Amino acid sequence: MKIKAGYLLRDIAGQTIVVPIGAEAIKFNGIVTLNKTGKVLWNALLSEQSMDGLVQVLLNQFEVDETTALTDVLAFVEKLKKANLLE
Amino acid sequence: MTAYKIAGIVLNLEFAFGTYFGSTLEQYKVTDGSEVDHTIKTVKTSNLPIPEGDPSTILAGRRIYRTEETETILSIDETTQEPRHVIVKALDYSTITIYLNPETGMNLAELEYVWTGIVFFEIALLHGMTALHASAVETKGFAVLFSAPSGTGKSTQARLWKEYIPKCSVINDDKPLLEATEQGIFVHGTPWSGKDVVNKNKRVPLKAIVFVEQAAHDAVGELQPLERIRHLFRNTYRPTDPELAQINLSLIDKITSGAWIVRFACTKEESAAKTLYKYLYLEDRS
Repeated sequence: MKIKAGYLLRDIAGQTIVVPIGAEAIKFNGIVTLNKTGKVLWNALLSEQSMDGLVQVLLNQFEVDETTALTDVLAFVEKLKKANLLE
Repeated sequence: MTAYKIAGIVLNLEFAFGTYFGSTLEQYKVTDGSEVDHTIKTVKTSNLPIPEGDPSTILAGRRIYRTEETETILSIDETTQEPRHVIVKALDYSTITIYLNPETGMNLAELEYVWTGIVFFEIALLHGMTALHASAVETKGFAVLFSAPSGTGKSTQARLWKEYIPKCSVINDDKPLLEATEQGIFVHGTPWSGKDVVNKNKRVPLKAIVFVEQAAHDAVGELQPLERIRHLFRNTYRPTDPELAQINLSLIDKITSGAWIVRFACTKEESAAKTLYKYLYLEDRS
């Protein structure tokens, strides 16, 4: 899975946000906020990733156990799916 | 063609209609021979310059054709796929021509107002300014901007201020520009000021941006950064071009950090104006 084209990630006033641009901006005029974990996963999902791959990304970046990493990945992917942000 | 200076941007404007601008455009005229950076022209014609070949991009209701020097946007009727109007834009925004087709039966004067505004707001982004959907008033040398989606009361609050707050005047009732500088945020009047055609060619330091919501009682609250970003993003012009979108986000960043931004749940009464005025101008917030 991968993030759809047409979204920008920016740090604004201490917040990490994702905004739609181009054709996506016509369909969706909101913003998505990301915490530290979300930002790392978002950047990973700019290229094709599997669930295992995303879990490994978190294990490499943060001091967490595998169960926590998997929980975070599942929650994040679900959030992206609900917002229709994944290809 | 006549030259105008709007928010420091010098451009030629030639309108086929000009209905929504009235005589207020006069105050922006320049006659000092300033160098013109952009030309925006509207033409009423059914003879549309539709490019040959396939579009580079297809969006809902739009086909976009790109060359090395120009971008041509063809607006189409989504039901019939019939061409409606065309905008031809030089990629450096030196010239933009909008062809408005009378055979569509649409309100061309209104379309002229909306589309020249969109073009101008894109030019404004190139000059480091963003348009906020807001009613802007001025008192005591500072501007207060009431911002909200259409129909939710920003013009009402501006009207209440004009009526009940001493020495208060309107800067722009639709799309003032915001400029972020090291000295602070400034508000510019523009000719794109909505149906009432009231606007002033002024640059005024910003007091506060007020995001308005209708309520049974008047209450002012400070907004946290994330809410500021959401409101600013929703109420600024959102270009489809990625470079312009990045510029807009940079401006939102500066405005989020540099401006006083509040939420105002308010009635439509005199008390609303007096409550907010007291909060912004009379209470010590140091």
